[in-house]
Amino acid sequence: MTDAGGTTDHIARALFHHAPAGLFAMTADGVIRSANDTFCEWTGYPREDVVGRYFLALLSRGSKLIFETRYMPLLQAQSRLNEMMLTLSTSAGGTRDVLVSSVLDGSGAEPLVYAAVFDAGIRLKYERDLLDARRTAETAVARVRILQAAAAGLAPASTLAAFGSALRVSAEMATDAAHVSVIVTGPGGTRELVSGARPLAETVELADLLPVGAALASGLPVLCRSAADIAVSFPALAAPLDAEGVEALCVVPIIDNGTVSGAIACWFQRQRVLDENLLDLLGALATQAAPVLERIHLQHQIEHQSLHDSLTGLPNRRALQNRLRRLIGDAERHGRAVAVLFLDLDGFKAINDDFGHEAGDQVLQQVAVRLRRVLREDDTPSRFGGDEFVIASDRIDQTSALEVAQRIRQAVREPLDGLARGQRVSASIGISVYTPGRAVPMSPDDLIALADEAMLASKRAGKGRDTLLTA
Amino acid sequence: MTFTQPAGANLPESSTADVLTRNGVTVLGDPAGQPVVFGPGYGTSQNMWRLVAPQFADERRVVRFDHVGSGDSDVSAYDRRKYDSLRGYAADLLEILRALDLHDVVFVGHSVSAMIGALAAVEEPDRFARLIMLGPSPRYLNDEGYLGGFERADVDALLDALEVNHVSWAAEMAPALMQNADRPELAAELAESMTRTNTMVAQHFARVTFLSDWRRLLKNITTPTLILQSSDDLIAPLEVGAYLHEHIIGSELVVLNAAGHYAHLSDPGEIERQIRRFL
Repeated sequence: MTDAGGTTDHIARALFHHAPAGLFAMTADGVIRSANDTFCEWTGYPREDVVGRYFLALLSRGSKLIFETRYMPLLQAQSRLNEMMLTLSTSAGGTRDVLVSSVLDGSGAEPLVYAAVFDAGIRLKYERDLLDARRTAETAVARVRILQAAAAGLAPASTLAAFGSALRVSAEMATDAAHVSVIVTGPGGTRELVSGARPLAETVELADLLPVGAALASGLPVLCRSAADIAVSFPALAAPLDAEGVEALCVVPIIDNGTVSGAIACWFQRQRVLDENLLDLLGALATQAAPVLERIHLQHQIEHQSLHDSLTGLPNRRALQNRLRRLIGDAERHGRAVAVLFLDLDGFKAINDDFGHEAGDQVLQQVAVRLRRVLREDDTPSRFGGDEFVIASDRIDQTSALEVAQRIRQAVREPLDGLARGQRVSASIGISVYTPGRAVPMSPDDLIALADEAMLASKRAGKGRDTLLTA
Repeated sequence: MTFTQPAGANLPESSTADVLTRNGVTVLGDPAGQPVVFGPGYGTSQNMWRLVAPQFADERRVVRFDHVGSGDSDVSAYDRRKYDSLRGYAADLLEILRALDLHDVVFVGHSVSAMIGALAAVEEPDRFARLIMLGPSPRYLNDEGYLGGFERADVDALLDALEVNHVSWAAEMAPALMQNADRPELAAELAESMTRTNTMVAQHFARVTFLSDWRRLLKNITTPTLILQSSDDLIAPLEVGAYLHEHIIGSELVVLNAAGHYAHLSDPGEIERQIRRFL
């Protein structure tokens, strides 16, 4: 290289203008005061269009946003900022990716920002690729973490509440939704909220909460990404949901073997993009939840079956004994009486013989319905076996026990329906009343045996009557 | 928890001390004076109000705070579900006002804090005397018949940039943390983890700020409102100021001469004058 002029000043000026980096100075507001040739060349504008212009005006729109919301506040806060990636918007309509390092000099009369700009096209592309790869990896990791947490939470769940809670927490992690509700469908299409809050709880029945209903009915996810979407899909609910701050929603059905058994409903307090990834993840959660829900339903069913008579739906002998054990315990603690009413049908065998077993079954079912109708809240009926029913009664004395027996006999005597239409049966009833403290302690079996004995006395005395024994 | 509350809103209410620590609340001025509360914009801290807020301390009670995840706030209180909506931030603001038992409040909100203040004022109008919005926007994205100034791709570019630049921010923080550290490698690690958290919060807050739409809220604002709009604010273009003025009943719009998005830094005297005039 030839002598560049010889003077130090000249070299310094040449260095400033021809350095392989853009250099410029701007005011704290971002107005460019001085720029070197390299920087002007990169922007494609002549110097007079660069100096006096806002640096912001030379940036792409995305970079403008970054500059205003991150670059400026950070520079203000720490006076220095290194290697911020920005995109210049060139005069030819193109872009140039650059790294900008800046320092804030507050020593002069007017604070100035000195900036060095480096061409970073290749490096930025590399960084973008890295970023994409990392994002993909992180999304996958987050997904696995959420599904694992869901599996761990759902596995031990034996109640609908525990199931709902585990599923809700996982869906919250997956979506950041302000509220998640887990809804389970029951027999006859009933719907139950098993976990979480739901909107419009005061004003709209769960059965009428349309987005949930739509997902349950169709078995397809329901998505509203904004208030405008809600207004289009569910116009009647737009205003009330808006009033409760719901800006977006998404309901994903839980489907087990083709049957919709529940739903995960997410309610957002801002409009949300709800992309494919998120829906996939919610779908995976629902898929994980479906067999757990089925298992809990089966457990409940088995539990119910083990304690109920399948013909009449009444509690069975085992349930009766459990119930009586509790009643006796309560009675002993509170010093009140327990009664057992033992009921045997008169004339049942004849109907069975004359009209067939199906008719007999119908009689038992009708008696069960009638018992339920005439009993008090504190009376628990059960089918003891054959044509025998036993009622366990709490908060009772001899007088009211006799009144209950009286009502039962009247109800049983009413003409029958079904195959034995017009026929009648009657009830022989034995009552045992136990007042703890007044007698030797009695077990459930003791009380039942005593009532059975009283019932036999009623039969012997001519059927269709009551006998009361106390202990 | 009732449904309308933001997720994670504390019930029973957090103690006064908890709230004040959580939001890095600072109070100065006359305890008997009318409270003037300053809210920081996206990506900034209460420090941005340093040239304006103290000017009111002689006769008013001056309150500044940071949003959870920014400035001197307790970042461990950052609950992604709660802060998935500006409603979560508005709930915090109301908690601060309650904790300090502030009434007749003048709220001055920069940028996103303007909408946070509006949400709080719609929720509890009786607590607010005035709303002053500096560079506000109810929606940053363009929409049919609405010019917000940005497209979805611009916001995506911001989100990308937050992540790409995370490396250089960690490098920024490390020396500061290392100054007093015996083991510099731990400081670097700490800087990395803090930057990760900050980047996560900055990205989430960016989504919540720039992808929200609060246009429907404006008609419910009953507090007298002053809109301070810079003539050259890139984040909130002139059209946005006009839109707000048209939709906030009885509002006043002042277009500042230039001054950019950070007018409280570039022209603090004018901002102070405008606030005083409106009180």
